[in-house]
Amino acid sequence: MNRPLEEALVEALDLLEQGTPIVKILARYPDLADELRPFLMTARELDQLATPASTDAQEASKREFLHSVASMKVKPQKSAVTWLREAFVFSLALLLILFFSGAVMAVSSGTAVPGDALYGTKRFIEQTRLNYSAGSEAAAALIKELHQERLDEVRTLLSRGRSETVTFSGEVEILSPERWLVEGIPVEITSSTILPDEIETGFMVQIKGKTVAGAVLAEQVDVIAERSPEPDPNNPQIQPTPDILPTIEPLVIPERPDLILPDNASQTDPTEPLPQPTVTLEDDSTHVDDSAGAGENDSQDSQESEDSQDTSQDDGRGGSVNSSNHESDDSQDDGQSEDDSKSEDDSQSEDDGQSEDESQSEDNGHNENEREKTPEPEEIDGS
Amino acid sequence: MVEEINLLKRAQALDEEALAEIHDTYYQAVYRYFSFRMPDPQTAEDLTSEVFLRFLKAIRDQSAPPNTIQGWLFGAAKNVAREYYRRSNKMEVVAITDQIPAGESSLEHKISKRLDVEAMMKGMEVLTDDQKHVLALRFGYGLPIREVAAIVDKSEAAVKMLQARAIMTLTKQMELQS
Repeated sequence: MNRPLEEALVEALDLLEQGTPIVKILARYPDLADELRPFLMTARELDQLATPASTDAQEASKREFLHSVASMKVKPQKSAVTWLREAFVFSLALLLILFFSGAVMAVSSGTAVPGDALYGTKRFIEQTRLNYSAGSEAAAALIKELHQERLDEVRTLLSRGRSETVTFSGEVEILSPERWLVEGIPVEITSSTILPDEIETGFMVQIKGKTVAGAVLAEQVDVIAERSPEPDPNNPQIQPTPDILPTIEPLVIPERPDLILPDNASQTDPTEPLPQPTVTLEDDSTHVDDSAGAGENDSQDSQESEDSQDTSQDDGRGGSVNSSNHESDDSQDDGQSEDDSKSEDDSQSEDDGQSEDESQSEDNGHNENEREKTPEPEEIDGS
Repeated sequence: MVEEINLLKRAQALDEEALAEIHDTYYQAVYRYFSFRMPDPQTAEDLTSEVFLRFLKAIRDQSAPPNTIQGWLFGAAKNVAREYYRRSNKMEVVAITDQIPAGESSLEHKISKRLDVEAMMKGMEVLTDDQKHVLALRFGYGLPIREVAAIVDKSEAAVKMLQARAIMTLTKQMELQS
C-alpha cells in the first residue's frame, strides 16, 4: 500500500471524526486529494449505513430478555431446594467416609503388634468385643482367639527383631535354668526375673517381659495353672485382664497347703498317719455340710485343678462319712461327678475301717484346725 | 465506570431492574452495530436479541462480563455476527434486494444519497473480521476511536490504521464491483 496515502487517510479520517468538512480536509492534502476523496466519501457513507431500531423491536427484545431472567430466577430457587438435599447427601458421604476410615483403621489395626501406633486401637477393639460377648459362649472362643493373638504378636516381634514389652501366657514346654520354652517361644530367665515358688513343665504361666534378640527376656513369671490340659480354655479368660490373676493364684495356692496340711495333721497325730487325712476331710465335709453352697464349691473346685478336685472329693467324702447314713447326701455328690464317687468309695472303706466315734471325737479336735483353713476356701468363693 | 460495575453486580444477582436498565441502555447501540453489518433489519433485531440472551447466560454461568458491560456486549456481538456469516455465507447479499420493501424510508434515504447498500455490503465481505468489527463500532454504533480501541483491546493508532485500510479496501472493492 501507499504509505503516505495511508498516513494521510488516517489523519483525514481523524479530521472527519472531529467534524471537519471533506472539502477542508482535501484542501490540506492537495497532492493526494484525488486519491483521498473516494475514501472519505466511503467513510461518510458508512456513517449513514446503520439504522436505529424500531421501538417495537426494542420492546419485544426487552420482553424476551426479562422473560428469560424470570425463568432463570426459578432455577436458583430449585437449586436452593436441592441445596438441602445436596447438603444431606454430602454429610452422609462424609459420615460414610468417617465410618469407613474407622473401619479401615480397625482392620489395619488387626495386624498391629506392641509398639505399633494402632496397637492401642487393636486392644481397645478386642476389649470391646470381649465386653460385648461377656458371658456368652462366644466369649470363650474369643478369649482363646485373643490368647493366640498375644502369642502371634510375640512371635511377630521376635521374627522382626523388635524390642517391645509384652505379656503373654502359655504352657511351659521346656524348663532349663536360663532358657524356657513357652508355647514354642524362647523365654530367657535371669537373676532379676520374678519367678513363682513352683514351676514344672506343663504349667500354664503368664510371662511379662521384653522381646530381645530372638527370645523374651522375662521380668516376671506367674503360674496361672499347674496343668494345662483342661484348664486351657479357662485360663485365657484370665489373661486379657491381668487384674484377675492375683485372685486366681490363691485358687491354686490354698490347694497346695491342703496337700501339705494332711502332713501337718499327721505330724500332730503321729500315731495314725493314714486315717488322719480322712479325718481332716471329714472335718472339711462337716464344714461343707454346714455351708449351704457346698455343692457349688465342689463343682468349681473340680474344674480348677486336680488338687482342688482332691479337696472337693475330700469334701464329698467327708459329707458321706459324716453322714454315712444319709445316703441322700452321697447321691447328690455322686450326681456331681463320677470320679468323686470312686474316691468316695475309697474313703468310705477307710472310714468304715475306723470307728465313727473316733472320727467324731477327732473331728472336734480338728475342727479348730479346720476353722483356720476354712477361710481359704471362702476366699475362693469370694474370688 | 463505578456505576457500570454496580449495575453489573446487581445484574449478576438477577436484579430485573438492573437487567432492564442494561437492555435499555445498550439495545440501540447493539442494534446499530448489527444494522451496519447485516443486510436487513430483521436479522439485526434477531442478532441483537441473541446478544442480550447470551449476556444472561453468561451471568448465569458466572462466565461473564468482568467489568465492562459494553465491552462484553460488543465482543459477543462480533461472535454472533461471525457465526451468522458462517451459517448464511454469502446468501444475505443476494437476499437483500428481495427483502427490502419498496418505499422504505431508510432505503429511499440511502438511494437518494446514491448509496449502493448492496455494493457496500458486498464490498465489506472482503474485509477481515476485525476490520468489519471496527467499522461497525466506529460507524455503526458511532463510537469514537478511543472507545473502539478499548473494546477491541488495541492501541488507538492501530485502530486508526485498521480503519483506514478497511476503508481503502472497501472503496476499491466497490469500485471494482461497479
